[in-house]
Amino acid sequence: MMPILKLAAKSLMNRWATAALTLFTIAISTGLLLGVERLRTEARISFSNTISGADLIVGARSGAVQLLLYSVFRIGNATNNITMESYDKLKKSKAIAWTIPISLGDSHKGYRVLGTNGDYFRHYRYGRKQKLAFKAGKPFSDLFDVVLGAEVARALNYKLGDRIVIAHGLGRAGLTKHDATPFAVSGILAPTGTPVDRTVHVSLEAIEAIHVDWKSGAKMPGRTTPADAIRRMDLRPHQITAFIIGLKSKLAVFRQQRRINNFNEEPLLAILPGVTLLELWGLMGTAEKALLAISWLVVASGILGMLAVILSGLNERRREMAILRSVGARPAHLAGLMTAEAGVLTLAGVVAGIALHYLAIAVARPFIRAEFGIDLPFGLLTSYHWALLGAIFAAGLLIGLIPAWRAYRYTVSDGLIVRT
Amino acid sequence: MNNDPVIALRNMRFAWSAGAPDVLDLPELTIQRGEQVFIKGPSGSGKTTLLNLLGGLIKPDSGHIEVLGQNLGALGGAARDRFRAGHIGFVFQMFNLIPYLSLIDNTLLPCRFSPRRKTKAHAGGHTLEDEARRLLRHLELDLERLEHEAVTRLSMGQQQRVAVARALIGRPELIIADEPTSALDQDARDRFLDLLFQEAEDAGATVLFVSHDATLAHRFARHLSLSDINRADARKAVQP
Amino acid sequence: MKSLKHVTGLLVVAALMLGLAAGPAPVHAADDEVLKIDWTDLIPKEVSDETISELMEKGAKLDEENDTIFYDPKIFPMVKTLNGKTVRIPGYVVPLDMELTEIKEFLLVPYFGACIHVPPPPPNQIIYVKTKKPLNLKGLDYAVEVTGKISTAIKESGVANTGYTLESKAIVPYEEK
Repeated sequence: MMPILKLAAKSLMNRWATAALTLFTIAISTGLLLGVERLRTEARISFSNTISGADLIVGARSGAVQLLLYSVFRIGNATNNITMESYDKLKKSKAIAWTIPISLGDSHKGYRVLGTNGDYFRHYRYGRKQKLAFKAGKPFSDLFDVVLGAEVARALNYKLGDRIVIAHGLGRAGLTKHDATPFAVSGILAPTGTPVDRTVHVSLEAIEAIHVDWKSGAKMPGRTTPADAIRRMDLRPHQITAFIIGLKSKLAVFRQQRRINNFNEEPLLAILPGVTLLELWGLMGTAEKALLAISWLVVASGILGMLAVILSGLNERRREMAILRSVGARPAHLAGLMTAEAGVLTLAGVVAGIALHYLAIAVARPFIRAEFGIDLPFGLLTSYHWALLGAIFAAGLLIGLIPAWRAYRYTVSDGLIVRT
Repeated sequence: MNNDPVIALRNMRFAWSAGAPDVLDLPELTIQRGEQVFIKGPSGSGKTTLLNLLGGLIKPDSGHIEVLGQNLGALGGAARDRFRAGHIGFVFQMFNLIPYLSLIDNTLLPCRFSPRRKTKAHAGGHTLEDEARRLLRHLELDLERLEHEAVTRLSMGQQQRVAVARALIGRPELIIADEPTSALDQDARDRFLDLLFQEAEDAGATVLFVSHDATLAHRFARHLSLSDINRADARKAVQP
Repeated sequence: MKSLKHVTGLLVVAALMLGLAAGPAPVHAADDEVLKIDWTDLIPKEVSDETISELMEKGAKLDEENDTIFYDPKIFPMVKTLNGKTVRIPGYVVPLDMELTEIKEFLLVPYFGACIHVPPPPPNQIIYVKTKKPLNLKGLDYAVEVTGKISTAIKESGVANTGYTLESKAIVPYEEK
């Protein structure tokens, strides 16, 4: 066995250029398969990590998945809002323990601006029922206080007390002087690994303040209301985008959901986050299966490429096989040599593929975190992943049986002297 | 075992398939220990088949084939392979060496397949590599220059000598050489035979040299013509 | 040699004590028995001649009138004798909070779609299940069979509530036979 393995290794080293190419194709396909699987599982973990302990999420009537995506994951947008009156009425239920109102629609340098109140910092939970913690500072007290998610503060290099510009839509437009911006960082949250990290939090009143100069959607030309004037205005919020509910008893969830869905003053939708998340995964499931199938096809093409390479070199190696036979190698040894070469090549390709996939994760991580809020950790491979890798290796070995069989047939008919 | 002939063939017949005409029909061929025998066999005379039979790669259809007292016809395939590994060294006309192995590794190949030859190569307490080097030096190869060369860069003459070293390592009892000098020039040919005989005697090995080139026959103590002893050779070979 | 005697002695004593502890066990055997129940068993015989849908209608009306989580136990009584028993019951899963991707708490309901388009079941037809081993759910439309100890006692934070809760020991996919 050992002499065969050594021969296989030396034989491959001799044809290292061709071997390297084959190895590379197997490595890429393995890396792709692993990467797709890792992304799939990490995405799911990341999604369900985002919110914890919420019994219902309520928004204007739309699709359930859509509501979940924009309210919790900050992906996509609401089509409509909820009036403040409806919110005030609905939250007055003995069944409800707490609510968190949220208002979305603005952004600051690519980060979502979220309007909310102190309830957010008191009641929002993520992961395994973890509370939001402050790395520095505290929640809003002043109208123009801003609390930053960890990633926003890090990426834009903001510190406590920094003045930042938050304006509707375009950022700096309209505010020419720096001291004209009244917004200041009052708190920076500790990292959570959720979309909270890339959110800029302001009070609900501050959202109204931002829109003072934007009546009916368009900025009034030449109008920039100074900050003091804004303070004196009535900034009671008129609408919110969604609200999160925590109930006193889980058993009440259906009744509250029905109550909100049947609310006749406004078309609303109340969802159970757990159920809707499963729906989301069901939707993703088809795409995931397609990606997985494609990845396996790429693996297959890599292995078939290896087969072509080994087979094409087989004819030239008949004399080599005759020599080996003359020193006592059995036909089974030679068949084993071919299989061993396929096995060694596949194994090396798989190992390189593992390295490649970690490299890909390293490269993709920052982009994915910025765009989707999904945290893609390096992590260790699970037994499922090892099973996938084992399957690739087994496929390579099995394919190696084809040239092995050919070699066996050649050597039996060639004997000591090859007539070509 | 010591007084057994190295090769004893009796009424040995072989055809490629049932009903096809015999390729070989040898009533008798005996080769004793220590002999150096030249067999003249042009291509097509059944020479290749004879070598495959002597090497145990194929079995005769009928008759008797004994090598070193061992009835090869009675052994299974794996046993014949083991026997060949342990007792016979081959030298071919060309492409004797495995291109991806070093000089030393090529020489030591038989030791990987035969524990018997490996042990014998170790005899005297030296390493396998040293024994390989000893043989290669005896065959007049300049190891200082050549040891780490790729074997494909050696000249034909050098490659053939490495093949002889490989055939001899671990002291097998029988050396079978098939046209080993056909690709060499006259001087190299003579020197090659000198070295082959010398080392074979040193190792106590019997040499069976098969070739179509009759001009070499005179250097051997005994020479036969395959077409003479092969009853199945209907074709009367034209002298080259 | 002496230490060997000591060890043997200890082992004998331990065995005796275990034997004694195991002694009274037969008396509790009945409680450990697994009761196979179905959803109608969760409604006391006195009211079960009303159909489920009538009960649900009642529940819906109460909801809108009272806006309260207090269900009148006279209208939606629970079967108190089930309290503390180990039962096995099939149903559909409505996941509640998920820890990462693990479902450790869910509501078990008699039919699929309880939270989507069909009116929700009445409170004595919902079981709040907690499980230590996360549930591996193939899909919302796959039924499961839950085994565990069921309670009819009030659990939630000092608020009167009608509802069954269950500490699950085993959950397996449910196959209709």
